[in-house]
Amino acid sequence: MTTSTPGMGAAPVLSAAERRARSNGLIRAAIYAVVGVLALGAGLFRLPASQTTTYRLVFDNAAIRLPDLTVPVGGTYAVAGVICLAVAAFQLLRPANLAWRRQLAIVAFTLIAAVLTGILGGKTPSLVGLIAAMVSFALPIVFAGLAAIFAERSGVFNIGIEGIILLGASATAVGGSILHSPYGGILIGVFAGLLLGLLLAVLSIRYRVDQIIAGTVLNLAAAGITTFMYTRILQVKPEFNAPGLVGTTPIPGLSEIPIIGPALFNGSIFLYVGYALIILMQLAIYRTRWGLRLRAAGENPNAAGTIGIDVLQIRYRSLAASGAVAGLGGAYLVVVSTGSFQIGMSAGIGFIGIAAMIFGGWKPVGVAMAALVFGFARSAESRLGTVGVDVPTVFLSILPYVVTIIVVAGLVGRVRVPAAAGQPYEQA
Amino acid sequence: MSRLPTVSANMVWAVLGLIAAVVMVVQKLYIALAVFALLILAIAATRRTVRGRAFTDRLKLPVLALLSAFLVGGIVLILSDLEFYSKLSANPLGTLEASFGRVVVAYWELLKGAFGDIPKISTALASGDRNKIGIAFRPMSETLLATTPLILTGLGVAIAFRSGVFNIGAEGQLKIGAVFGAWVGIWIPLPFPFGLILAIAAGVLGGALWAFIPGILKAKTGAHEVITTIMLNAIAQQIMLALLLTPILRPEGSTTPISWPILEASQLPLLLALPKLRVHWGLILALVAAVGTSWLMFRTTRGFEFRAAGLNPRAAGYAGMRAGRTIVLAMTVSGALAGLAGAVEVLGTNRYLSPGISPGYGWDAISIALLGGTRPLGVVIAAFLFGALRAGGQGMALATGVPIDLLGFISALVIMFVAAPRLVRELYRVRISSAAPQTPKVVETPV
Amino acid sequence: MRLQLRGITKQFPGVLANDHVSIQVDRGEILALLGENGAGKTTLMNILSGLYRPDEGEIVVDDQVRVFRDPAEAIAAGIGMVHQHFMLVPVFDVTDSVTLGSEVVRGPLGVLDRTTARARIVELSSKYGLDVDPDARIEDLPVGVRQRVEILKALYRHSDVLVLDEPSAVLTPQETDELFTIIRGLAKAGTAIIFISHKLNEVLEIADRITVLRLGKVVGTVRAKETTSSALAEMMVGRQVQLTVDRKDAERGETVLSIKGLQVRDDRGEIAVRALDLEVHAGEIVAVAGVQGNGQTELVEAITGLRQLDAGAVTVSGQPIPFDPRHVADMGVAHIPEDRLRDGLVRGFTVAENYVLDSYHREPYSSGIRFHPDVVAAAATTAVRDFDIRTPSITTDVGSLSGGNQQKVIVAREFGRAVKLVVASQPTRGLDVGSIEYIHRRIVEQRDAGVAILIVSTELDEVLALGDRIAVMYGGEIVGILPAAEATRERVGLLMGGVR
Repeated sequence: MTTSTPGMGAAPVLSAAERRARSNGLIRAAIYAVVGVLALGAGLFRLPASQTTTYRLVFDNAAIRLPDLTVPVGGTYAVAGVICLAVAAFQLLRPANLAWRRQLAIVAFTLIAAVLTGILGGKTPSLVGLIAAMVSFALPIVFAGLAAIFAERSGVFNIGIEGIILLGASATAVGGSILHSPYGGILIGVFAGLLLGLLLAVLSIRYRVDQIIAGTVLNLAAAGITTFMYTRILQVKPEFNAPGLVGTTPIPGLSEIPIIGPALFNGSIFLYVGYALIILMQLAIYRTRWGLRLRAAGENPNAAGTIGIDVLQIRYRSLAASGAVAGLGGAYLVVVSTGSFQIGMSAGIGFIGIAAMIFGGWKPVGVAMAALVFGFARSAESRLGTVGVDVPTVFLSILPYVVTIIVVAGLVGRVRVPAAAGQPYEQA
Repeated sequence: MSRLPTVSANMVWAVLGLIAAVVMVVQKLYIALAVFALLILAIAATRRTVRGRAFTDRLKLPVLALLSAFLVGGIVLILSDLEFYSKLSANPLGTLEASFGRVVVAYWELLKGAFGDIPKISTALASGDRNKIGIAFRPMSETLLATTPLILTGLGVAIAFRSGVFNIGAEGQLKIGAVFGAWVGIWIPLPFPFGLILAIAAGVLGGALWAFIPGILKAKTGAHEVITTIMLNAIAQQIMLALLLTPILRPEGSTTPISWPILEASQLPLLLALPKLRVHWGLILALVAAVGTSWLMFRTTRGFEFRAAGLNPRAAGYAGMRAGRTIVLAMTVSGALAGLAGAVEVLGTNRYLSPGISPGYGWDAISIALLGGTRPLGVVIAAFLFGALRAGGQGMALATGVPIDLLGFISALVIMFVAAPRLVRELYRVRISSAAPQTPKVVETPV
Repeated sequence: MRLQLRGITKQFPGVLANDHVSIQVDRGEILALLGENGAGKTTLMNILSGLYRPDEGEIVVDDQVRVFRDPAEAIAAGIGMVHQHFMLVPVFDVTDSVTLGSEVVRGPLGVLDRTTARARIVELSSKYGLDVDPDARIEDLPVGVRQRVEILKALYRHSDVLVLDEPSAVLTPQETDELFTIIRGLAKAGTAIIFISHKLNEVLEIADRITVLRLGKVVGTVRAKETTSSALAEMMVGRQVQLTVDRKDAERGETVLSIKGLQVRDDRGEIAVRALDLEVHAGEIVAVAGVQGNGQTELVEAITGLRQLDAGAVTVSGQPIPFDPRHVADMGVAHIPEDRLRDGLVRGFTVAENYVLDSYHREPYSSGIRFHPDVVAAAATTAVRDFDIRTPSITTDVGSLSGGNQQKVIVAREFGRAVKLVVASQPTRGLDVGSIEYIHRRIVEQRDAGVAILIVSTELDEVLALGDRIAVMYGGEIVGILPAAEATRERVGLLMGGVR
C-alpha cells in the first residue's frame, strides 16, 4: 500500500485508499497518545503514594521457585503510559504501517495490566493464576471464533454459534452421562454441533431463509430447548447431567516454565486440540486446495462457480465444520469448566467469538490473539470481581464488544471482510 | 396455472380441518382449538377470487407455521418424558395415547393460562365479588401485560425491516431505555403526570440513542448493523448490570442488583381498578404507538422514504431520497420504540429495575415483526399471540409442570417456518406465495 | 480440433435468445461473433461454457456430440472462457487465481504446490508473451493485466478453444493492441479463438471469419478479407421496417442543456466519459446512439445529479447542476432511467406510490411531514387515464404490470410536471410495439411543447426515428454528431463500431 502501482486510472483509487490508511493511522496515534498521557498522568498522580502490588509468579507447588514480583502501582501506570506513547510515536513515524491489529492488542493488554495492578494495589494476586485464567477464558472464545471463520470464509454469516455452543454443551452433558465418559460426551457434543451447522446450511441454502434470521432462530431455539430439557429432565434426574470432567495433562518440562508454563502447557485435551486446530486451520486456509476453494467461495463465488467448483457443497461442508467446532466449544464448557450443563452457560461466548474473528482479521492465528486479549479482560474482570470492585470491571467486560464496533466501522484500520459473506449464491 | 392439484390440496385440507374440528368438539376442547381448525377450513374453502386469495395467502403461512411449531413442540414434549420410553414397550398404544393426552392437556392449560377459564369467569361475574372477578380475569390481564412490550419492540423491528435495516438490537435498546427511564423515575420528583412523562421520554431517548449508534455507523462507514447491534446488545446488558450494582440505581448497602422503586408520580397507572389485574396504561401507549407507526409509515413523507428505501434503495436514490439519512432515522425510530418498551416495563409492570427486565422481548420482536408481516396491525396481533404464549406458559407450568421454556422453543420454530415459505410449501403441499416477509437484504458487508 | 454448435436454440421467458444458431471454429482460426446488444451472443457463450443448457441443438467437439452439464465439463472438453466481467478473486494473487479449481497439490491433504504452479504460469506467460507477474495481487493489477490473467486461466487448463466475450470493452487502445498480439500468437500456436464483439474495425482486424448475429439468429458468415465495415454494419443492424414517428420539423429554441469538457468515472474509478461536449436546445431531440458500455450510463447519471463530475461543466439553462438528484429534478429535469425496475420503480409499491416517487414531498401530495395518500390517489387516477396505463387499479403493485405499463408509469411521473429537459435512457427497451409508439409520441409531444430532449438508446431504429440530431458515443467520447437528414443506418452504424 506504500507504493502506487503504475497504470492508467488506477492511481487515484490507490491514493484514496492511502489517504484513508493515513487518516486511520493518525486516528490510531491520537488514541494511543491520549490514552498514554492519561496513564502517565495516573502514574505520576499515584507515584507519591508509593503503593505496591505484589504478584506471585509461581504456584505454591511449582518445581521452579521464583520470588514474588513487587511493582509500584504508580510506576506500572507510568510504564503503561510510556508504552502507549511509544506505540503512538511508532505509528506517527511509519504512517502507512498496516499492523494495526497488533498495535491495538498491545495497547489493550498494557492498559488492562495497568488497571489491574492499580486496583489490586496493596494485595498479592497470583500472576500465574491470572494467566491461567486468561487461557481458560480464551479457549472457548477460540473455538467460537474458529467456528465463525469456517462459516464466514465460505460466505455464510453464522450468528447461530451461540446457540450451537449451548446445544453442544447440553448434548455433551447428556451424552457423557449416558456413556459414562466425558470423552464420549465430547464426541456427542461435536456431532450435535455438526448437525446444527448442517441445519443452518439447509435452512439458509436450500430453503433460502435469510442467514441472519436462520442464526437467530437457532439461538432462540437453543435457549428454549436447553432450558426446557434442563428443567424437565436434568434437574429431576441429575444422573443425566454428570458427564464428569476431563483431567489436565501436563507436558513434561514445558509445563514447569515459570509464569506461563502452567497456563499454556498444563491443560486439558481441549487446550492441545485448540493449538492443533489453530495451526492446522491457519495452514489449511492458506496452504491447501481446500482452503483456496473455501476462500474463493467466500470472496467471489461466481469466479469459483464458473470454473466448475461446487460452491454450495463448500458452504454445506464449512457450516458443518463450523457447527462441529462450536459444539467442541460447548463441550469444553461442560467437561472442563463446570462438570455439568447449566442454563445459559454459553453466556455470549458465541458472539465474542464473532468479535474475535473480526478483531483477528478472519485468520485463525488472529482469532487466537484476539481471544487472549478478550480472555485477559475476562480474567482481570473476575479477579477484580472477587475484590469487590464493580465499576471498572464493566469497562473490561464491554471491551471485546467496543473493540469490535470500532474495528467493524473501520475507524482505526481497513477491515477486509470476505466479500461475499452473507450473500446467498444461486447455482446456475 | 395448474389448477387441479391446488384444488385437491385444498380438499385434503378441508377434510383434515373437519376431522380436527370434530375431534376437538368430542374432546371438549372447544373454543380456540376449534377456531384453529376452522381457520384451516377457511383457507381450504376460500374461493380463489383476487381478494380472497390475497387474504388467505397472507394467513396461510402464519397459521401453518404456528400449527407446525406446536406440532413439533408436542413431539418434543412427548419425547422429553422419560416415563414414555419405559412404558412404551409394555403398552405402546396406551402410552402413545396417554402422552398425546398430556400434550393436549398442556396446550389446554396454556390456553386457560392465557385467556382464562370460561366457567370460572362466569361464576366470578355472577358472584359480583371484585376479588373473584380479578382472579378470573388475571390470565387475560397477564397476557395483555406481556403483549405491551412485545407490541413496542415488534413495531420497532418491523419499522427497521421495512426500511431495509436489520435491527437485531431491540434487546439492548430496550435495556438502555429501561435504565434511562428508571433513573429519571427514581431520582426526578415531579408531580404526576410530569414525572411519568419525563421518565417515558428518557426511556425513548435512551433507546433511540442506542439505535442511533449503529445507524450512523452504517450510514457513514458502512459498518454492518447486524454486527454492531449484536455488540451493543451485550454492552447494554453489561452497563445495566454494572449500574444496578452502584448507588446510581440501587440503595446504598443493598446486596441485590435491584434498583430503588420508581417514584409513585412516575409510575404508569393501572388500567383497571380490580385486584390482581396488573395490566397498566402501557398497553394503551403501545396501541397508540401502533397507530402512530401506521401513521408514520403510511401517512408521512418519512414513512414513504422508509418504505421506498426498504424495497428498492437504488430507485429511492434515483428519486432523490437520501439513503444515509433514511438509515439513521429508521434505526433511531426503531430504537425509540424499543426504548419505550423498556421504560414501560420499568414504570408500569415492575416499578423497579432488575436484571430480568427483559425475558427476551427484543428477540421475540424479530419473530413478531416477521409473523405480523411487518405491518402495524399484524404486529399487534402477533404480539398478542406471543404475549398469550408467555402468560399461558406460566399457567401451563403451574398446572402441568411443563417448563415454560418449551414456548421459547416453539416461538423460535414459528419464525423458522414463517421465514421459510418453501419449507412449509414442501411439507404441506399447499400453494403459498414464495415471498417470505420482507427482511432487509444483506447488502454491502462492512468496509 | 474443431468446435461446432449446431442449431442451438434457447428460450427465456418472453425472449428467444438463440434461434437455431450454428457456428463453427477450427484449430488456429479466429472466429468473430458480431452483433448488437441482445443479439444473443452472450447466451450462446453461456451455453458453450456449460452455464446454460440449450433447449435444442448440440455441441460437437471433433465430431463428437458433447453435453455440458456444468462449467467443469466444458472446461474438461477444452473450452476456456474469458468472461466480460472478470471472474477473479480480488484478494488472491495471480498464481492462486489461475490455478483455482485445477490446483497443483502434493500429498493426500492437498497441500498447494505453489512453486510448481508458479513455474508453469511463468512458463505459459512467457511462451505467449502475456507478461504477468505471478505474485501480484489481482486487485492491484490494471484491467488489461487482469484480462491476461483470465486468458492464462484458460491456457492453464489446456483450452483448445478460447472464448473472449467483449474483451476490449474495458481496455484502452494500447491494451487492446497488446491483447490482439496475444490472440494472434495463440491462434498461431493452434488455439481456436471465438472473439465476441460489436466493434466493426476490431473484428475486421483480428478475425479470419466473422459470423453476424441479429435478434438471436445467424445473419451470415463472411471472411474478413472479403468484406468491408459498411457491409458488416448493414448485416449487424439490419434493414428492418423503420419505426416511423409522425412529427413536424424541430423548432430549435435556446440552449437548455450544455455540457463542456465533461469527464466522469465509473464505479471502479476508471474514466468512462472523457472530454465530452454536447448541447441540447429547447424543442429538439438529441439522440445519443452507441453500443452499451461506451459511457452512456455514466453520462446520464452525471447530468441527472447521480454521479460526481470529474472535470468539466454541465448546466441547465445556464445553472450548473448540483450533485443531488432532487435538486436537479427541481431545476426542471425529467429522468427516465435505463432500467425501470432497478432504477425507476419500486417494486412492492403501488402504481400511485410510484407515480409520486420523486414528488411525494411536494404540495399537494404532502404538506410538511404529512403525506396525503388520497390526494396522491386522485392524481394517480388522472394520470392512469391521461397516460393510458393499463392497470387493475392504482393500488396494484407496479411489479405486476406489463413492461409497457410500467414504463408509462415512469413517463407519467416525469412528464406530469413542468420540465425544461427530459433525459431518457433506453425509454422503450423490451417493450411491445404499441407501447413503443405511445412513448415515442409522448416524447415528440414534449419536444413540440418546447422541451429539450436527450435520448440515449442502443436501438438504432429508435435513435433514427426520434432524433433531430444524432450523436454517437464510442469509448466515452462523442465521435460524431449528425443532423437527422444525414444520419443513415450505415453512417451511424459505422460510428457505433468506432469507425470515423
